[in-house]
Amino acid sequence: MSDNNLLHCENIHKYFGQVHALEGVDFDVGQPEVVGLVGDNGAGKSTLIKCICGIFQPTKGEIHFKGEEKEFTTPQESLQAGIESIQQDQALVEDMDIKRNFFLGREPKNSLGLLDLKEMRQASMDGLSDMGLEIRSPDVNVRELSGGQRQGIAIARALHFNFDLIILDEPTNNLSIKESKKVYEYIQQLKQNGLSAILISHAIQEVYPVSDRIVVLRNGEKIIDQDREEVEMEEVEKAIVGGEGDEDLEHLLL
Amino acid sequence: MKQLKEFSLSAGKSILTWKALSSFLSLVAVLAFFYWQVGDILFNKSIIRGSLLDLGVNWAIVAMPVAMLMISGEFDLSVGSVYALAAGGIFKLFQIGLHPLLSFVIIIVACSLIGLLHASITLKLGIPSFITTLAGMWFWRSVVNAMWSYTPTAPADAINYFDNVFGVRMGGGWFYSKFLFLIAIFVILWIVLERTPFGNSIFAAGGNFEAALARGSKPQRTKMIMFILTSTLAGFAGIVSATSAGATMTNTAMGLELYMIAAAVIGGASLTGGVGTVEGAFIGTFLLRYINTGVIQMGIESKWFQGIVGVVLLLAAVLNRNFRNKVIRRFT
Repeated sequence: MSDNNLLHCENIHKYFGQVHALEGVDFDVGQPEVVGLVGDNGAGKSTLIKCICGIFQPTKGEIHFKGEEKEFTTPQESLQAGIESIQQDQALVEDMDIKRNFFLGREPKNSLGLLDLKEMRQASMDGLSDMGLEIRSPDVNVRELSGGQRQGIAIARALHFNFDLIILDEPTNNLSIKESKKVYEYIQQLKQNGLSAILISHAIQEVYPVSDRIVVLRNGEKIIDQDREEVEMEEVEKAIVGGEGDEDLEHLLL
Repeated sequence: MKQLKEFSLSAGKSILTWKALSSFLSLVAVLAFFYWQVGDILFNKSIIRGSLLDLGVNWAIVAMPVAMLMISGEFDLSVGSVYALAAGGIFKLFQIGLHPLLSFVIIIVACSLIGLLHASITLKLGIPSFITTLAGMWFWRSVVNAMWSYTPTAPADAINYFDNVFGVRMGGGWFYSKFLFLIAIFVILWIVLERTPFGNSIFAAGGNFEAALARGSKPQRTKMIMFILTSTLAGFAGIVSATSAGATMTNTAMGLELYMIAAAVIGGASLTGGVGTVEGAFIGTFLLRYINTGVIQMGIESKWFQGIVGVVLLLAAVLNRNFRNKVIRRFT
């Protein structure tokens, strides 16, 4: 991997007591690039992401972001550096309207120190329409929106605040096929704007359509790291659960 | 003509989507009912000033921060006891002979520290605020009881010092000057909740704590500040009550906490947090006071007050839940 990668994780180890959750993982994200990070439950993908987001600190190993070595000790530090993590249930406040969600934690103020509601309305609507997301008003509560629209808002928000790297956890989970397609379009938009993304999933089908590169973790180790064109979906599927064992099982069953 | 139509359309929209609409409609309905029953007896000067705007002002000062605290996802069941503690406490300081103003500052600081204590136990130890402040409700009431045998007393000149500030008849005798303090507090709290980043963090803290945390909106700090503000204003209301009435008792404001929650809920607040209004709690308080005044004037035994409050609370909750959501879906 080249030095001018956006994110460069080298030899990341993470122990939880005696449990070796990550066993020396190298992980890179280019700029712009969409990386699909897949693995079964307990494979280590969320541990790796939490190390990148500052929720965990790696026991050993280095994280470089934008060419600088970083030690994120809190989520805020990673957020400030330009990494935004979007968890479906943690992205938005349902009982708040779109404009307030859009600027939560970063509200624009007028000269009196009060919320600049006009700016909030305008900017959130612009952000959404730039992505082709048609919503009638920025005053609509998020509760009224579909899952795909919610993902769209979270992504538009990341775009608006110029994050460099966006981490999407199971981006199309619980969404209809039509809505999933929309979310893939939003992810493409991110890339066209020069941003990078990591898509996390336990199912390769979820991330394969939009990923430039596929990384597979199993038992805390990286077992596949290839451009999408070079790797078949079936191959990845087998790797996620441990291919050989399954073949034996298939023979027995057949 | 077209402009007029557009204006009335947008005005209509803002009224229909107003979060405190159901509390306002309930208030109008209750006023109309009492007018029908007893006529304008309820609308004369002495009733408005003495019955409605006296205790009502003290209550509303507490109800608004209680509603905001509920929006941030927490309860304060100790407001009645803190109110009584401030009332009895300031009389104690008057007795010792401290300057009234110094006494005021000491009590206000003490009440804010009580809020800080409740907040710290709740947030640092992870105890639900329902439990923390229920414990606080009993504990601080005991402190009041231990401090006074039954009726706290204080020198008249110290009491008058404040009565000259809060208890001056104004507006041609329609209200006491403390009403102006209430209006000022209302305006400030409304702006804080609806028009500041801090207000945004109050809604977010109660609506989705994890999301607020992830966005860097500091929900812990927000809740901490709201606990402190609630206790402080409960104490302030206690001082206003004791000094403008010239008296307080050890059982003053017993049960106030539930009326405050009722006022907040009538005003559109949700028990699960994230939803509510300051103006709704304001209106809800006067609705409760008006029911109280009304049943007495109607000659119904005043024991029916609580029964009627229960029914109105339920109606408001049903209105908020079933009617409001549909209207909002239709008009935003």
